[in-house]
Amino acid sequence: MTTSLLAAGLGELDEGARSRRLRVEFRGSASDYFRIWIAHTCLSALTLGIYGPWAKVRMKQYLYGNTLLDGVPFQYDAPPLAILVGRLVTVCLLLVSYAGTALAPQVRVLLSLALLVALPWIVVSSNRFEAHYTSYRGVRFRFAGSYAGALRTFLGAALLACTLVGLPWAYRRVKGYLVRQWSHGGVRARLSLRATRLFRPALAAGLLGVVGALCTAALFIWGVRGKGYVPEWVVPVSLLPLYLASILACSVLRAGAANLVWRGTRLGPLRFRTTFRGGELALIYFVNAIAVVASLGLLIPWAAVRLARYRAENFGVVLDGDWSEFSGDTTTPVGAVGNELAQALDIGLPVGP
Amino acid sequence: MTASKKSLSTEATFQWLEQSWLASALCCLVLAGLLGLGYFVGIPRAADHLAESLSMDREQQLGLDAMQSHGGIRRSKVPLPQREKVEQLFQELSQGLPLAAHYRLEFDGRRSANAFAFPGGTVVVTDGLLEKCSSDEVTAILAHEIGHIEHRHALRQSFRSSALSVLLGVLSSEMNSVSVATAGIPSRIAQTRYSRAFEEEADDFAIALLLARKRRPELLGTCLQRIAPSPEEPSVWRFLSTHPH
Repeated sequence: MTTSLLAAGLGELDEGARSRRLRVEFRGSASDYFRIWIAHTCLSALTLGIYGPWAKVRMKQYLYGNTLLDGVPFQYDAPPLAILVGRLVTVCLLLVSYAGTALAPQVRVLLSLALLVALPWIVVSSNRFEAHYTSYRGVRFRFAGSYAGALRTFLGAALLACTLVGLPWAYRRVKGYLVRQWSHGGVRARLSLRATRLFRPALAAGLLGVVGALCTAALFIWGVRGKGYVPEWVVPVSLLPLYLASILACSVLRAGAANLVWRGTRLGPLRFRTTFRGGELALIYFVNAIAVVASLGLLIPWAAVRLARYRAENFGVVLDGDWSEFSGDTTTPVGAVGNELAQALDIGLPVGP
Repeated sequence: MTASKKSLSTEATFQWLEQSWLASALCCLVLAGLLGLGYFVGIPRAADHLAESLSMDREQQLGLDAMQSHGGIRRSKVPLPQREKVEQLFQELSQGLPLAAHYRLEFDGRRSANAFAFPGGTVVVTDGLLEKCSSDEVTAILAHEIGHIEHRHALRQSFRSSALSVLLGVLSSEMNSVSVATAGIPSRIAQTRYSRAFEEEADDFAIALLLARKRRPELLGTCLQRIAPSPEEPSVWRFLSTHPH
């Protein structure tokens, strides 16, 4: 039923009396964000990272507070002290595991097992943290996932992923579970997504990767042909197509998957429609990378604002009804250890585009 | 009353920090200073301190691991008398040095001309090097490698790169939040300066050692200069090795 509703398209439903398209905008400016960013980064460095959590919260507050939906900004109010505790625990865990592997290499196996066991907890608690401290119109978001539920989902997904052809179903299983746990003001989100539709972005990305690898191989062979040795310039030059192709493939996959997931997501009376494009995203990523490296990091705020603006510009939200449906709902505060671990271990948060 | 006054002034300070371009410029300077201090003083000092606290036995174990990861030693095809001569030169050079008890010379059958100093006191010379360089030149190269070992360069380098990768990890998590395309670029650039300083230190050590042993220090580098541009030198191998000379 939900799929047919979605298939009906936005235009038709817009004509309904209680259905309206909401404005999404990002109002932040690179120059404002730069001044905030440099001040707080400097304070973090001066205090050897102790101030880091306060800096992180302030920067997020700027980005969230300048993201407006229907003219109303998002709010972020995570307690920096909890983040500091989470970071200290994370650093201790990393140091212990580093020392452990240095003394006895066999510990590595044990650590990977421990990480696998802890992964569902990390993902759940990290989502719960982000949800609890993000609010809109004074109402907090909520993530209801549990360790058992996440473990079941991940195990099933891992089995599906093993078959390779089952990857889209594995992705849908994980995404569907995570989306279902999010709620706002007592209204639960849900996801209806036909997994076969994920094949298109995945195949496009795979094809790009293969083309990039072939170009790299061809350049390498052409560079060393008849020489019997490898000239200095050949390795970096021949890797260039693979590098560009991997940025493009990554962007195509991200954009395609985000579009499908957002279009299939419903949060009570809210429907979403994103129009991310792989090529545009890749161009933003690529220009950001060059700007950030060439400016020795000083253009990081500019790059962040650019990305946030692109996301807002391509984010469509339709409200079939009104905001009163989100009546409010109490959630309990959560610790930040999982969230900080997730960041340190590069476990991407499955929120947003 | 005083408390509210105080919080008001902190608020004003923060507002100034976040809004004034002068504050931003000052922050840039402070950040650059801190990064420079960490890179040029903090990391090298901490790494050297750590390296000194490690026992020679432990270093030898690390050296064996490093040799394994370089593909191990291949059987040398250079005739035994020539090898014995080089071995004798090596003994002469290393005699009386503080770490003399730990020195060991290995011959590697690789065709590319190269010499390595591994942690723990093992110097490796390849067949290619012995073929292309005269025995005086080999002596100079050995003195250079002994310099690497006396100064425990391999260990200090590896501690420095570990510390650097932690620092860069913190920085690049920030970078990766805005682009997927920046991964790994800065570490390559930041790494090279440290190893160049070590090469110079090893050269200085080698010159002093060769002079003390009544050898010719001007031969340092002549052999490598002669063979480096030759097309038979596979540069990938040099690219992969931690200290190319």
